[in-house]
Amino acid sequence: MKRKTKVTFLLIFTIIMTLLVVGCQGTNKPENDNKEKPDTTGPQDGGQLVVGLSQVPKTLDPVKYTGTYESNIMNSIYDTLVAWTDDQQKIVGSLATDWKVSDNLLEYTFTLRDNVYFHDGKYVKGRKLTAEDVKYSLERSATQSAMGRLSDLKEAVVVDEETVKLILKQPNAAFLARLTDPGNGIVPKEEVEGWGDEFGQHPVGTGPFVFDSWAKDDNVTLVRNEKYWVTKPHLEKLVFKFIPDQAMMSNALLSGDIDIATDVAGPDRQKLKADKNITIQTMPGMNVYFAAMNMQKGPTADIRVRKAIAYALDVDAAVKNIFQFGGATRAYLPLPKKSWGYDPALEELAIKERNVEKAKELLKEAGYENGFKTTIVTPNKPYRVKWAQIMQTQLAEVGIQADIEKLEWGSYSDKVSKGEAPIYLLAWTWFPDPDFFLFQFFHKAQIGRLGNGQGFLDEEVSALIDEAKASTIDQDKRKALYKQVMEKAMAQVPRVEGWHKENINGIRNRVQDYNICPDDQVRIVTQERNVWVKQ
Amino acid sequence: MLKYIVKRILGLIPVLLCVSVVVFIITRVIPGDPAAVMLGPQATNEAVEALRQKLGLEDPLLVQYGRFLLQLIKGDLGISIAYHQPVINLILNAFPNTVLLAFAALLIATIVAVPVGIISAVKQYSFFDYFSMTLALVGVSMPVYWLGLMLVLVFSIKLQLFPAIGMGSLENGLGDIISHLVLPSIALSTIPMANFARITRSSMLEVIRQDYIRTARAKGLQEWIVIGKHALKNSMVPLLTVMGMQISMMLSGAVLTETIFAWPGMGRLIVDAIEKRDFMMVQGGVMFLAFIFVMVNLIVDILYVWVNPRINYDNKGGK
Amino acid sequence: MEHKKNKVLKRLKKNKLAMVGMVIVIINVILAIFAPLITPYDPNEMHLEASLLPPGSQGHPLGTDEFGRDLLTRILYGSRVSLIVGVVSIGIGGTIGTLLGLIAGFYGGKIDSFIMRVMDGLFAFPYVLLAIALMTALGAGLHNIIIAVSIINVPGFARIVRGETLVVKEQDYVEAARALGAKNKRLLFWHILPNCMAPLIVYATMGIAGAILSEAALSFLGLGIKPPDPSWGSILKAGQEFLGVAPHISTFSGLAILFTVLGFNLFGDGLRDALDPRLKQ
Repeated sequence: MKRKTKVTFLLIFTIIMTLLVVGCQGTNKPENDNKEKPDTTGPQDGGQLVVGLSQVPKTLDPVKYTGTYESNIMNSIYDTLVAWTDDQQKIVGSLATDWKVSDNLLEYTFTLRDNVYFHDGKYVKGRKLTAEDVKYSLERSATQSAMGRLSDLKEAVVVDEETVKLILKQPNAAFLARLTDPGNGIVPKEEVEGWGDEFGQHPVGTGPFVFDSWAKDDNVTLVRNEKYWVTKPHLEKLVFKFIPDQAMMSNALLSGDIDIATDVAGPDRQKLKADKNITIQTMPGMNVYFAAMNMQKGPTADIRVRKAIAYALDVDAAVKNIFQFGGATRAYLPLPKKSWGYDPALEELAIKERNVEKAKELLKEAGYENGFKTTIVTPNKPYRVKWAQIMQTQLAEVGIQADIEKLEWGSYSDKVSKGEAPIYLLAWTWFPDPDFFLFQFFHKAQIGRLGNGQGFLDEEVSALIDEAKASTIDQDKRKALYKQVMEKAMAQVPRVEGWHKENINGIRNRVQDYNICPDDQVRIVTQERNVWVKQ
Repeated sequence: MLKYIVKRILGLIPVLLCVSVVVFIITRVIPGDPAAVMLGPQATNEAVEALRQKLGLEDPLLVQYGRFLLQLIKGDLGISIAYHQPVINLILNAFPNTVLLAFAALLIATIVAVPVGIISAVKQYSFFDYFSMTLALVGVSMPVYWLGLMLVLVFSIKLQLFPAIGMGSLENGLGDIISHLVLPSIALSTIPMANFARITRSSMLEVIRQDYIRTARAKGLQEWIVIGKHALKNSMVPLLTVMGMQISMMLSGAVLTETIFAWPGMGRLIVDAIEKRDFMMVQGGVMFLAFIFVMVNLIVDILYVWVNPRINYDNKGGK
Repeated sequence: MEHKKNKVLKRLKKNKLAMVGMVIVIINVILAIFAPLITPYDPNEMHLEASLLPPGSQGHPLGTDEFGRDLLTRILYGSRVSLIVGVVSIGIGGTIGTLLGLIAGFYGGKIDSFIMRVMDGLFAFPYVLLAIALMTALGAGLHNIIIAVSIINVPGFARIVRGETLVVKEQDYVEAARALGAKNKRLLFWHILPNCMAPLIVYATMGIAGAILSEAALSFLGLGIKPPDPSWGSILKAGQEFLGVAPHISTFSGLAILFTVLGFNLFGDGLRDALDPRLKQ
């Protein structure tokens, strides 16, 4: 009898499950909300903007953040002393109205704006920003930054209520660029110390938007800072939604769940273009992808071999294949096209056309008539893994047998830094100042680090880079010096440049006054823009 | 009975200890540096080194294992390296999603497989029988990830009926979640469905041949009453066992299914953690899954004994 | 013994589905061995300008992949990886598992508990996660896949063989042999093992199917063999990106996996029925 009950129980259970499924099948999926809104002229106040980010941020504490997806949010919460113009060609004042640089490039003195107030937090209530805050924030960054973002700073001195002097460890003409990083944003001491380790979850700054809430793994919501010193933001609410998948991101944009999709993939581009409510914005990115060859050991230490490899590779065909649906342009220089140091005249120095015969000749000269074995080291990133495969095939045609070593980031950077990678594929993206590229790639001090893992060693080049960094802040003079750096470096064929990846954003048409930036950072309210939405 | 349960629970301790050793060794053998992964390309060597110190990755392995075990006993799975959050919080976010997916798949599997199995048994050697059992073999041979892609191709890309990825959000109503659930749960249900159909059929066949069924038939009871009332309930017992055994398979299948459909569950969480070298997350997540697995097996075994008291349970359970 | 074998073969031949399975397996083996004779292309030969061609394009019956490599050629060569991983890793994992199972079942006691606890521990991992973790630790490559897939197959064999051993060792003829003074080693390998063979063969056949699926899954996750060598799983993965524009890449490579695995499963199923008619479902 008892057994019967148990079995009946199981039976009923099964029946309930059946009913559940039948019931479920009746429900509809939500419909897309694509209603046209009436057109009006002139900026409108109010409404909310939803921005899709491709990764989930971990912390919004300036000294702790490590990823660009985090700085995308921080740009709207914090202000820095100085900032880039939206096209990133020039640095202008932000919290500082003016600054002076000493002749030895060791002291930067800033005059602060006097109408800036912090957001209301738990420990400060709309307090005015002071010189002490600047000193506190920058010294905190100098000593605690996870990325060493201000390691050049020796100390900050409060001269008077509105003046702060920053003293550097060594002369640095590129120092201002460092200060534009949201990692060097100005924070109130009371909040940082009050929250302790949790400040990154409850950020307070002086920026256009005030932190409101953080739904883990889903979104961060900000609200308008009514007292923002530049202007009152049009938007009432700014939401950053985390969508860690490119296809999902495009779908969310199509359905109107988000207004701006960052990080749109090539194949999705067509789909988005076809929708009349969506505009695609592209911009050559502040990056360069390249293959570097080891100059210290192995066959590639011989310039003839490096030249042979450069002739053996058909970069045009590779870029065309990898980006079949668009999204990149071929690179010729070790500098992003949008950097002020870029000089198109130098492109002629690059080996542009494939020439298998010449490659074979050069190999023969170098004593590798029968080729040799080598390894292409790449991190596990789709574009570079593809390039590695194409390179492998193209190198085989001149007799070079290349093995592909696909590594996780930690092992990859370790191997490259130690100079153990014969050929490695690297992507570099940073500030527009050429120092953040050329010093990292070609200065002897960077041997043993990721940027110069190939061991490029040339005293003259190092001296020129030092000069460009330490002798003047005049952009034209520095540009001329960097031109020489590139000429001398490229003459040694240290690397084969791959491509500049384009930043691609998808934007719903109701969003006004928004433009994609070269560094692919989302900026909503700056001194040049105040994004608003049509309601 | 109680003695049996206690004995089984005690037996779990060495198994879990063994899992902890294996998972610890594997996570430490994996080359790579979570600190470097976290800091990315612009990090200086000094910054990476400092972070390693802070994360306790420089301590001797035995110390690290001791710490891991001690925390485990206290029920603490540590802090995720990549997310700066307690591992248990991340698991508690993701696990219900995996359960939802697995349960939906189990549901689909049962609803399709049980009737098919019964009909196949009742009409043994019929065309339907051959056809459905061949189909079941195809189901067992199915690469889940491929089926997943094909479902996406047909139902998302071509017909645009269901979303291809993600889980949707409750904010958009239950319908949103269900429409996201359809494709992954169908993909995940294939293998259990095929297994269930085969088991139902074979245990049905066995039951049908029993005397009391013959008696019932002889009494002139209608066929469907005989099958539905007498045969079915008796053939449910083996199905229940198989369902239990299927849990491990489902968790494995879920890893792949979640990867394809970007379903925010445990499988994706752990695969992602392996990629990021987030050792704490990997060891915590795997320990958690192993714990769930042995507990489910235990419950299934106990249920089995409960439904089927004739079984001499002292001889069961691997002794 | 001979007589029994003939009877099994006879029963097997009568099972149509098992024969279909066997034919699929044999065709697979032939295609794998003679791949270079069947296709004019090299599997790694790229034609960047002819990428993502649809099936039926001139010279490419199944079309081309993202680098313009002939898809048919890559699938043909991919069968080599699948078969090698399937057979070798079941060979290794099966042998180790069988030995452990024999020892555990035969000696019992502490040895038994120890071995089986470790096996339970391995079993408690979702096997895909175990394989992923192992591959991440070992790094990509054919050898490492074989190692990883072997390891995940050990516990299953150990369990089956241990169960069989427990039954067989109580049988009269084993007792008789023991009474006649047979040594343990002789007992294990001459008397017990042969009597475990039937279920073992069935399990191994099905195991090959499982191993092929595991290899494909690992390659699909990007942890399998090194590029550019073709594996069905990695072709499938490469096709995922182009599912909308070039669905043939994923479709055909998946079908190859499905048919091969089905072949082994059909054959194994028939084999089980033939070896032990009582088990016929």
